[in-house]
Amino acid sequence: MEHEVVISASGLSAGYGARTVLHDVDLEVRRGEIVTIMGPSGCGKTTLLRLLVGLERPRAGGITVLGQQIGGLDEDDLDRFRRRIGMCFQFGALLNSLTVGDNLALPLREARSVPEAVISVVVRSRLAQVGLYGSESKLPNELSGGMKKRAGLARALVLDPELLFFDEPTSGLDPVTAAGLDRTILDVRRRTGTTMVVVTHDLASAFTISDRILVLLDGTIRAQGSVAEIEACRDPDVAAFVGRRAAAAETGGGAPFVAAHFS
Amino acid sequence: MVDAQRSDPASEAAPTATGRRVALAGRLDLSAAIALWNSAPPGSAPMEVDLAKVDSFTGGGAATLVALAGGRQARFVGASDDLRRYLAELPLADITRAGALEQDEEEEEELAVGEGGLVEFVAAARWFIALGFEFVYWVVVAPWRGTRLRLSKAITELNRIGVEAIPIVALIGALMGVILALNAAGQLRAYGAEKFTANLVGIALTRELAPVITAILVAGRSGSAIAAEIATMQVSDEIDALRVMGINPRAFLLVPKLLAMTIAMPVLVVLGSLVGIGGGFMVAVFGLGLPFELYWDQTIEALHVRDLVLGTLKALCFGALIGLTGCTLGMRVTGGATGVGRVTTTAVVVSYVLVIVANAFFTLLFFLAGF
Ligand SMILES: Nc1ncnc2c1ncn2[C@@H]1O[C@H](COP(=O)(O)OP(=O)(O)OP(=O)(O)O)[C@@H](O)[C@H]1O
Ligand SMILES: [Mg+2]
Repeated sequence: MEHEVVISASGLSAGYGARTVLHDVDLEVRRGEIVTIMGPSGCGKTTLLRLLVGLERPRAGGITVLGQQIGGLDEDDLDRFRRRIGMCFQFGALLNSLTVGDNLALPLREARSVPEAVISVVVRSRLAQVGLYGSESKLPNELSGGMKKRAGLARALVLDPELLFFDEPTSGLDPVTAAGLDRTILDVRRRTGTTMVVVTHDLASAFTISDRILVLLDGTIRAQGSVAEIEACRDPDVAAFVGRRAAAAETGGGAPFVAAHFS
Repeated sequence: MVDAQRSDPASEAAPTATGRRVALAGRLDLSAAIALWNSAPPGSAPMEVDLAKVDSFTGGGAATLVALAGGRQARFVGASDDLRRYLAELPLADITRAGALEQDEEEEEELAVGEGGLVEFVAAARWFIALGFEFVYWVVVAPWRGTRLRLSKAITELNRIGVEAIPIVALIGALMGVILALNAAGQLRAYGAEKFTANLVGIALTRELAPVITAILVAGRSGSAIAAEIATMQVSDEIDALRVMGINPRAFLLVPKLLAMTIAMPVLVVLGSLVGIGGGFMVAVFGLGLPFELYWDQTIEALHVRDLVLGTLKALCFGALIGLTGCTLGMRVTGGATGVGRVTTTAVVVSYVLVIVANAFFTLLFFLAGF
């Protein structure tokens, strides 16, 4: 495996309005790695992902992806940069006015001059890869939530990206489909060496696919390391998150009230 | 038994009340607890609540006890271990403080909105203007630099914005012509000047009424639809998905809509004017008995090419204003489904205001320039 750093960010902070969501986030991802970002709902995982693809600007800190400083790119350069990456949104984000097939064909038609005959084969085979063969003429609102997500993955794969970002690829999927998706992710990595950053809540999935796990808590990265290292982590909050019962979980704070008002 | 208690817990609490001592029994749910809360008005003496006969509780019931303890100075006796454990596990210090906290936050937010409202307005106005320039760039400059214009998308939009609006524009235009002719003829007859009905109908329609009325129809039909469509795409991440695919959402989505808008409006306005003149003609010739040739000659004499040009120019400008408003508000939406609804209505209102103001400006300008 190569060790070139493809994503590096340091001292990132970001927020909405008066609210700070992320602060002092440092991270590094090497080529070919699958890194998962875990953390409780609302802790800023999606925000972090959006920063990394330039959809959101950081308040402080720098981000370098594929050798380019994302903050310094103008819109055209950003568009060119983004043709090298793919992103799967939490809810698929398929264009509702286009059929599933046209959704997949869109980046091909827009970004490259690919002949239509090739496009149709690429689209069908990408759909087959995520178990949606034969859905190309359906409209997105005829698909279930999980099918939309998988179609979103197929669309992200269509341009053979060097870097793939996933926002909760397995949430809302049944365990069998989720495991299938994990397999797809690993297959893609094995065959193409694509680097992936995956945001997930799904412990089983994270432990299956990750080379490295980052735990995001209170807006900053609290722990990182291999699956084994995270499992052995002593930080009680991290431990609580990865499924072991935290030592100090029972502190509700209501005891003084009960003592004062009940007899 | 339990049901009776549940349906009217206050009456069951009242008879057992001895002084400020109240006993509860059965199920302590939200309605039972609220009845207890209401039985102790603010400022009444501290009370003691006997919970020994309570056999089950709901989260709402327990929470009301907490509020009672703080607000009405109640003490509780005989509570089950389960209830105590449940309460002990809640972060009660934070919860009881939250009421005050929330009010603080609300005030802060209101301040922020007052201030943020202006900031957002200025930002939106800049976005609107920048999009206007960018639209001109994509339509006029970019094709020469090898970026193809998305004509097929523009044609789809043209169908939706223009072709589908033809019946309603024609109907309203015809009725405007009829109404104008009837009113004008009534007034002009007094001076024996009925033939000038043709002048009034022709000029008023082409220069003022057709552009404004058509703009209002199109803003209501299509300006709102553009805002709603773009906003929905924005809140469901579709716009971001386009960006991540390296597709410029403005060139891909907005420019075809704006192009269709600026083409459809002038065509619809010319159509509306012609149909309106036709309506006036029908009234004058068949209703008022003016000779056909007279009305025709009068119309031709009164209407100059510049009137049509002025009307068309206005229409083009109104189309751009309506399209830019819908696109800007749609792209800048915040707040999910509620936000989509809000920008949709805002787009219509803002379009109306812009159209009416721009119309006044044009008319004044032409008046001063002597057109
Ligand atoms: N557009 C926005 N405007 C204001 N606040 C936002 C916005 N988007 C996110 N937030 C806030 O930022 C915080 C982080 O949101 P984010 O979507 O990054 O969380 P997340 O970790 O992806 O959560 P989940 O696991 O539920 O998807 C949340 O508390 C949310 O309230
Ligand atoms: Mg998220």
